[in-house]
Amino acid sequence: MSELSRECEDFAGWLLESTESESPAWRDHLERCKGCRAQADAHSMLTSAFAAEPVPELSDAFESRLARRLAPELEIRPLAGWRRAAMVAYIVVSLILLGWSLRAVELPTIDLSAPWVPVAALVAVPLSLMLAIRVSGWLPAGLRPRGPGIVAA
Amino acid sequence: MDDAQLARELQRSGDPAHFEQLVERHRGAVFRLILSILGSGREGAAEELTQDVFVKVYRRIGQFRGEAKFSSWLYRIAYNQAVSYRSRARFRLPHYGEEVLAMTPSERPQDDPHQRATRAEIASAVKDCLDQLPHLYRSVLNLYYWMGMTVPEIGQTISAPDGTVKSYLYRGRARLQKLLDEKGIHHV
Repeated sequence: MSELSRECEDFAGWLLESTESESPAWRDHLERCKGCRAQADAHSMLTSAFAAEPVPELSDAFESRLARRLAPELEIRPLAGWRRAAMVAYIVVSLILLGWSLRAVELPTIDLSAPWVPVAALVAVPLSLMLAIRVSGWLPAGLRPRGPGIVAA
Repeated sequence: MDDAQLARELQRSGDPAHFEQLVERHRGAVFRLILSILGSGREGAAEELTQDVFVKVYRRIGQFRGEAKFSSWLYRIAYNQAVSYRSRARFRLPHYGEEVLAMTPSERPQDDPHQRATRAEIASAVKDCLDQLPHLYRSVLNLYYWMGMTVPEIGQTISAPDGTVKSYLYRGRARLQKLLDEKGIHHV
């Protein structure tokens, strides 16, 4: 708009403050200025075109639908705040108890070459990991489930 | 709490209550911005995209650094989402039936049927031409003339100063009028 004359700028400003597109005060200018005439015509046609168009609103179901879409993500939340503190406390207490029990109790000797040892390890490790995830609600960001929808990652 | 504080709390705790507050504050503006880019008659698609935007925001909240206003960050995502949808979708103007055409724009009792029909044709042509404008001009014109937003409100929505919004309105009207002239549509 910088190349406009002062009069054209004033007219453009007036147009934004007025519901009309013409006024006797601007008649002479509009007869002389093709650009402002076009502005007035476009303003008038736009005003008329949308006069009966209701201002759109979101439907009442918007929030419930959004909650449904986000439900899978809200179930598993990142480990933060009190959850992180609880997890750290849980690990520290578990290690102390483990250390104390190892010193106090004479453990049975295990033959590591026994065939059930690797099988037990294969079952126990993922099971304990799943249990920890379930208890803490934690999952690495890359493994968190994606909800439905067209949003690209 | 302001938007930035809510976003930080959401990043820290993942508490959905903070997210719900952000949705409550911005859902209307996001919907109107998206609809202003998609155009009249596409309210259903605009609502769906508004959902997508908030899902995306929830997933990407960790990327919000607080360097810009939260609303600017959010509206930028919404704008890009709408523009991307328009470029992907096979875009056609919604069909306006005889009854709809007869009702738009506002009927004036003193108008005869011929004048009403002419006004309806012009309204339809204006929407058609709006659809051909660049996204930014179409969006600003729709926000102003259809949604009834003021220049400062539009400025907040598209993260632009008032002078820039006025400039977009001016250039948008000029380009729209040029398209209408090419179609032989004139103000009555």
